[in-house]
Amino acid sequence: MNLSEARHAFVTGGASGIGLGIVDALAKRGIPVTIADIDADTLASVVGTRGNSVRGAVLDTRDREGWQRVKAEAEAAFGPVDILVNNAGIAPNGKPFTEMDPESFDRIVAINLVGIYNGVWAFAGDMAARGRGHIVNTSSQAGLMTTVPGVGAYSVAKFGVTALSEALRTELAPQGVGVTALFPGYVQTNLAANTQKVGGDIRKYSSVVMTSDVTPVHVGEMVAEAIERDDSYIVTHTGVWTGVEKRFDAIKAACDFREQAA
Amino acid sequence: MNLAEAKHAFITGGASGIGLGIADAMVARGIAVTVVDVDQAALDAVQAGRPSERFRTQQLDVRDRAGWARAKAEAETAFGPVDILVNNAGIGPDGSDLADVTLEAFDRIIGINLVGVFNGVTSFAADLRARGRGHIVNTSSVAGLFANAPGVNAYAAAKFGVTAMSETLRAELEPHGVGVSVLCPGYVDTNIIANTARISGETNDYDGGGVPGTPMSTAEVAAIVLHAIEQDEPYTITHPEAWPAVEARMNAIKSAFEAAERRNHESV
Repeated sequence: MNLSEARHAFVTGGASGIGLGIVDALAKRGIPVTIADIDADTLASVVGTRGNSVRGAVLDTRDREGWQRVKAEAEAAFGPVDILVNNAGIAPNGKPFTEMDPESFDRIVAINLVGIYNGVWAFAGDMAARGRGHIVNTSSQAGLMTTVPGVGAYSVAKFGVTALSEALRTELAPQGVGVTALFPGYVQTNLAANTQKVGGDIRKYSSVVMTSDVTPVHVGEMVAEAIERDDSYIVTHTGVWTGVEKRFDAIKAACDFREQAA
Repeated sequence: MNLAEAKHAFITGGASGIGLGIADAMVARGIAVTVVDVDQAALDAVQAGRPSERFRTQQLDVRDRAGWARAKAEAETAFGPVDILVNNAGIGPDGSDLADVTLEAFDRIIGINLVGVFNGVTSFAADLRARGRGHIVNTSSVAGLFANAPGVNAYAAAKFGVTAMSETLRAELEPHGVGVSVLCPGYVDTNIIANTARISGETNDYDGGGVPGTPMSTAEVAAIVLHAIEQDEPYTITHPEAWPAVEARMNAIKSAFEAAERRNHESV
């Protein structure tokens, strides 16, 4: 959508990291922004330095009543939400499936997959009815391929986000609403520390995290531009294509095998 | 794995459809089978006429973790260690657009089709790894490979998750001699739509629109699955007609990588 027509953006997990990069990129373009985040202290300090057209709302994206409440408050303050950025998420737990507590799996699915659906549930119907708007869902490069050890549960959730985004894009396009899936690679954020704050275990995962020269500011600009162009996908790091392609090649080989066997 | 060495298979959603097809094919190969299903009446009906020394049934809702522990213990008491786990239980798509799907319907699809598979994995995978043998088949779908068919949104999210889980699990278990295959069926002649309506208590708008191919019999799918276990196939496809939709998706993703490559060059 044309960002000059966007009246209000709602960004989850927006008090730090990629979410904050997106908040700043949208605010810079004159769009009032509601930042939703689970971390009230960080939220207060971020909102306090950003002027009157950025407001904060404490939200655990798992909390459906919370979604309804903060949505009503946000729209009372800044009007209808035209841009929803479902960005809140926690890090991989570093565990193989054979050593994974069900609680850890459940937490990752609840925040990283169902939390994003909850945002869609809260806002997509309204956008479709108004015939305008854009939704950005933060997936991951782990939502396209599964080769990094310890990322199993995280990949499950992020593959789900990828699918939801693709399905939603097809469904909402005729109603004038755009949908973009964001596939970040390693970005300089505090994802690991924040994951521990909500009870997640990142000890093993932290040991494999690579360094990155991509910052949330870069990603914020990529997202703003992608909304303008209504891109289906945003890729931050191109190096993983080889792995993604290898995966599609394996699926194609399986299709070819069945074709020949038939 | 070599099916001649398999002694006991545990199959969820095994009282009908693809699950029952796999159960019958395994019994015919001399493998003892525990069939679990949420539908007790269907379990009773399939037990009748099948040999009790090689075919036993047990009620299980795959969302019930305590139930998994119980069903596993009873199954292994009866037929010994499970060599083959077939995580097949699932319900069908809702059929509504995602903006219209109810919270309950979304949670039910994720709970059964995604978390239910995880529950099977956590119940059995560590034992298979410790014994250094076995095979896990997870039933995904063509909707676990592309997501833009009408009405499959939440279902595709769950099935993409199953596909990802299977890929990761395969890499994790391969060094331990345990195979993992993800089954991605297209249109198969089953009663999944009626079963979904019964379990959810809601009428279902899904009409199968967008699923490529013609209906395949469950016996044919079962033969494909047994072959997949023997050959340790990573992906098991029933309908290669699905490939063009997967390929279109691949090309769209590839375009995004190419655009990123151009952007990164410009910014240098």
